[in-house]
Parts: sequence; C-alpha cells; structure tokens
Amino acid sequence: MDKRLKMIALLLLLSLFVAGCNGAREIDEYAYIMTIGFDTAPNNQYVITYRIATGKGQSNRIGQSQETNFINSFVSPSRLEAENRLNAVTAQRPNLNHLKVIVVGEEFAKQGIGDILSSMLRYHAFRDSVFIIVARGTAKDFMEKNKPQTENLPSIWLEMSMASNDETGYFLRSNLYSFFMRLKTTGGAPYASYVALNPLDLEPKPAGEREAGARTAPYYAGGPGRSGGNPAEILGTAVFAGDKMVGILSNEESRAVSIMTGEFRNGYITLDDPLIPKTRIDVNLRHHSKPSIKPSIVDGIVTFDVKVLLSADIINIPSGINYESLEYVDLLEHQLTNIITNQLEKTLTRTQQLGTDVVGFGLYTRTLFDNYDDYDQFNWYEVYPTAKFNLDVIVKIRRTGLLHKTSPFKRADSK
Amino acid sequence: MGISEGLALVFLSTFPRIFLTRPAQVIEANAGLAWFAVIVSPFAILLPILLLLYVFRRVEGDLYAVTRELIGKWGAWAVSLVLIMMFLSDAAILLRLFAENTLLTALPFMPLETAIAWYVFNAVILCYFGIECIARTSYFLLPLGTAGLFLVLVGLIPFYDLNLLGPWQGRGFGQALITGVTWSSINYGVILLFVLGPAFQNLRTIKWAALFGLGGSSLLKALSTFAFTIVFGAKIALEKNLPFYEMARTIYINRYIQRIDALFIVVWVIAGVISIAINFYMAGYLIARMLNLSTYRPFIVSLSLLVVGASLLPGEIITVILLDVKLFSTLHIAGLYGIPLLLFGATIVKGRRKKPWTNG
Repeated sequence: MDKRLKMIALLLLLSLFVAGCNGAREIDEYAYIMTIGFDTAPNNQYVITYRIATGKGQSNRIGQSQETNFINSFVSPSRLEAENRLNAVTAQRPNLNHLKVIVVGEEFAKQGIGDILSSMLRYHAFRDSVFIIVARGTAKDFMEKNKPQTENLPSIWLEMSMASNDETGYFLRSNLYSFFMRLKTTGGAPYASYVALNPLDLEPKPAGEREAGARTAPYYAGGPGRSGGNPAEILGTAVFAGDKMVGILSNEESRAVSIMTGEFRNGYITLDDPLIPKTRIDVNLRHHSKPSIKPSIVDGIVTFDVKVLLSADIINIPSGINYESLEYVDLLEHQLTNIITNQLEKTLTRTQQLGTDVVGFGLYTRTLFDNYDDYDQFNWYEVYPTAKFNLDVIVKIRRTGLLHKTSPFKRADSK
Repeated sequence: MGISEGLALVFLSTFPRIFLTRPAQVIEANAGLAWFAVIVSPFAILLPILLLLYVFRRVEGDLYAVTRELIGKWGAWAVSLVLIMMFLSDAAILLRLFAENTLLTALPFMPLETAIAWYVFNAVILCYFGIECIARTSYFLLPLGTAGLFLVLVGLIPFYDLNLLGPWQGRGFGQALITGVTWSSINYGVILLFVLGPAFQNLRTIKWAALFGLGGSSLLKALSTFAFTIVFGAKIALEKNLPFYEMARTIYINRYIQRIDALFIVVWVIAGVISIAINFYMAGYLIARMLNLSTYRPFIVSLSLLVVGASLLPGEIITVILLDVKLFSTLHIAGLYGIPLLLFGATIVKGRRKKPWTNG
C-alpha cells in the first residue's frame, strides 16, 4: 500500500480513540459536588455536608420550581469515608471536579483545619482555586439557609461574591493556594473569608466603635442592620495562627489588610465633613500603587517601613463646601489620611495581639537573610508580635466626578 | 537533516523532565537559586560537546564508526552498549512516569498497563517512520508546545511574588554549581547528534543544533523553574510531584478562564511520546550499527516490549523517581562525560587528522 494511504488509514484509526470519554461515563452518571462543609461532631468525628448540583434547572428562569441542587450531611471520621457514604445515597458517583467552595464551621476552624485540608493537596480534583470560607455557627446551617435570589446555585453566588471583594475590600478572598502558601511558607498567616446568616431584623450590631472622623462603624458578617433577601453575607475575615482560627477581623480591618497587601482596588468611605462635622462626605477610595514595604533590623527589633499611596474620588459633599478647590482639598486629604492611618495602626496592633501576620510581612523578611537555611531557622511567629511598623500613608484626591466646583443648596436656614 | 531538525531532536530529548518531578528536586536542593542550577547544566555539557566536535573533525562517520576507528570493534561495542543502556533506561523511566502521571492528572480509572500501552503504541509508530519523521514532527510541534508553556507562565503573572525567591543565595552558589554539574546528565540527549553523525549536513550543523537545542531547552527549563519558585516558594515547591501541572492548574484569571490544565496535559503527553520515540530509535539504530544491519525496524517492537517490562518492574512511583535520580547521577553522567573523554584521549594518542566528513 502506498505510504500516504497507510498514513491516512492510521490517522482514521487513531481518530476513533481521540473522542474522549475514556471511562465511558455520561455526565449524568456523576454527582457534582459544588460545596463541602465541615463541622465538628462528638467522638472525634466530623459532620460533612455536601451541596450537589442536580444538573437540572440551570437553564430555567429564576424562580421556577425545578431544584438545581440538594444537600446531604454525614457524620463521619473522615471526608473520604463521608464520600463513600454519599455514594451509597446517590445513584451517581460523587465527583469533585466542579467543587467551588469549602465552608468550615467556626468551632471546627478553631480546632484546626490542617488535617482535612492536607488530604486535598494530593488529589487533582481539588484545584488551588477552590475558595475557603469560615461560617459563624455551623457550615451545615449556613449551607442550608443560603438561598441566593439571583443565582441558581449557591456555589455560584459564593464564587461571584468572592470576585466582588474588589469592590469594597470588606473581606479577604482566600483559596486553597493562598491558604497553603501562608500555612507552609510562614511568610504570613492564613486567613479565610468570614460568612454568617443575618437575622434580617434591621438591627445593626457593630463590632466596635467608629474611627474618629469616620462615619461608619466596623461590622462582622451577620452584623449590619438589614432585612429582605438572602440571609447569607460575607463580611470580615477569619484569621489563623498555624491551622487554627484565632480571631475575626472586621470589614474595616479586612480593608486595612488589603490596602497593605496591595490587593485593595476600590471602596467607598463615608467621613465627617472636616469643616462641618455634623454633615458627611462620601469618597471612593482607590488603589494607586502597590505599597512599599521595607524591612530592617533596628536595635535588634525587626522594623518595617510601610509606605501606602491611595487615591480618592469625591462622590458627595452635602455641606456644599468647595472641597474641590486647592484651598480646601488639603483638609479633606488630611482627614482621609488620618482615618486610614488609624485603621492601619489599629489593625496591625490587633494582628500582633492575635499573633497572626495577616498582611504577610514575614515574606519581606527573606531579604534580611542571605542563605535559605538561616531563614529556615528564623521563627517568624515569635518575632511578629514584637515587630515595629513605621507607617507613611498618603491619600490624594485625584478626581471630583462630573462636578468641578460645589455650590451649596439654598435652604431655609441659609444665611 | 539540518539545524532545525537537530535542534528539535535535542530540545525534545532534553526538555520533558521539566514536566516531571525534577524542578521540585532542584528547588529542594537549592531553594531560591534553583533556576541558576538549571542554567549551569548546559554550560557543563559544553565540555563533552567540544570534545566530540574535536574528535569528529579528525575522524569521519557516526559515533559507532568513529569509535570503531579509534578504539576497535570491541571498544565500539562497549561504547554502543553503554549508550543503548542510557537510551533504553531513559525510555523505561519516562514511560512509567508519564503513564503514572496521566493516571494521576487526567484518567484516574485507566489501568496503568493501558496507559503504558498507549504511550508505547504511539512511540513505536513514530519510531517506525524514522528519525526524520520524528525530527520534523518535533520541529512542527515545538512552537506550539513552547507557546503553550508561555501561556501558562503568562497566566500565572497574578501569582508571581519575587519575595518567594529570597533569600537570594538559596542554599549557596557552591551548592547550585554542584547540582548544575551533577544533574547536567538530564541533557545527555545532545549526544544523539553525534550518534547519528552523517545524518546531519556537516559538523557545523551539529554544532549549531546542539547549541540552539540545548540553549533553548535550558532557557525554558530555567524560566519554568524560576516561575515555579516565585509562585509556590521553596517550602511548598519541594513537595510537588508535578510542578508544571500544578502551575497550570493554579491559573485563575476569572470565572471563565480557569481550569486550563486539561489543555496543558496534551502538551506534555506529546513531549513524552516524542522523547520516548527518540530513545527507541537511538537504541535501535545503535543495535543495527553494531550488528551491521541495514535497518533498525525489526528491533522496534522487541525493544519496546523490553522497555515496557523494565518500566513495570518498580513496585511504586517513589522507587521510579528515586531510580531516575540514581541512574542519571551514575550511568548517564558516566556515559555523557566518559565517552567523549575516552574518544578525545584516543584521538590525541592516535594523533589523527583527516578532512572532516560531510554528506553534502
């Protein structure tokens, strides 16, 4: 046979085998796990909750009745055993390839999650991009009551919410990659986004006092006063020392951390009007450039010179004072700089008290060493609480929106 | 064959280990300076290349003919047997590792034997069509594969953190030099240019194919190791079994551009198959030369069965990974540096000077 004909015959033969589906399994033969929840259970066991997509109703219009997913919980000594039991319940084979989120109950997180997470490093279905969140109360409760109104699957709601942290900086996004990087490199403490169910009673439950000059109080998830909609919300950050959760950062502390890590993109901030404190000013705070963090050792103490440069756009000036003018703009910038500096200082003090380097200053200390073995001997966990920080924050008003000069309203009491 | 074919063959026979555990092992040995150790390797290889170029300027023919001319028939047999062992053991290890990793990353339910059979089947077909076919296939796929690798490196930009490279001296420059030299044997594939000898246009072709092939492959390996270090840091990187796969699966641009590791698996499967085919061909070619046969083809199937048997000998993957390091730090390094030194010594002793060969 001609060589070309042989070649064509061979290619045709090969084409039979490149159609995929090696296991001869259809997609409806798999139970696609979208979310896994972990909680504590008596006798050294776990409560493991799975949210599984049914594969139905994805193309339905929102509000139609077909169930897109269901939840199963198991008491089990391990995740893998729970998956064996899930296999006994569902006709399909459990499949983790589409897993999006791992939810950890707060109690469980405080006991340490390294044990359950380490098994995930070995298995290809757990991609580094799988998000990790900590739920106030139990993961099971959170997963059962999380009923998004605009997405068909709660896991999609969580994934999209995670992407939206760019809009506020009110929580820190964490996935398997960042969690393990911080857990193993000791360059920074691991963290996870903090979620909770809001009682929807319009009753604000602030996490602390508002900053001098600022208009808003800090909150944890579940704290803001609101009603209606999905009770689930993401606000604040659970922080870890090693693999154990040791505290929660509020939304403002989370934003302070994201400003220092350079992950902050933009977010609104409401502050007192510098000249008429009873009225407010709204600005949109923006990332300007990645903060400069320079470590040094001063008198035997590890010291960091942190330079933060932010820009801000004026959104609203109800007092009508012309803060766009060069005469007044310094006042506004000074007010903003003070608020941000205080928030950063308080956040750093708090993380030092908790013994968790959430910003990741430890990574910068690598430049203090020449040799990896010397660095390996260095115990950053012990040093971090004693570290010193020299903060240099600059906030510049860059834009004023579509107005370049504010003129006041005429009111009845105007002079 | 010309420079293009030569460089493609050298590239494909020296590059595939970047897809396996080697980068993690280099990082374990050198921490943040691992990329430098990878850069050192090709410079170490320059010595045997220069020695062989010196020899080939004075004696014409392929490596078997040159060896026979310089140290006699039995010497040529001994050298050929060492090279055959190098190519076949490399084929067996690559076969097992690539098959195991296919199960690990893409087809967890496929029996290992089936995966091995598929790799061998494809490698045998390539080998059957000859070295020119392998070389031109490699040259055709090289830009596509390289573009895929660059895509992974670009997709990882949001994860790069230069602080992870620190402390910048790693475990020391001395250690990096030692690793670079001792592990240079993974680039032994460059010797195939001399084994095939007159299949290339002239010595200049061989010289440039060696430099471009080895240079390109080493540069990409160093770049990948550098990227791996600044994505994972030494502490996590040394744990990973398949560094490049891990890098590909880390990419998350947005909800729609993520989980692209499946595309990348195709690249390393192709690289693995071609590399195994090159090893089969080289072993078959040397056997044919030893036995003075006109073709290597009757040996392909029996050699592939031998390699399959050898690849299945180790009970578990950890033994294969350890064996890979062991073989390359003994047999391959001895062959890579010993054979050129032997031939160089023989040339000096015999003091021969002939017009260099050319096939036009």
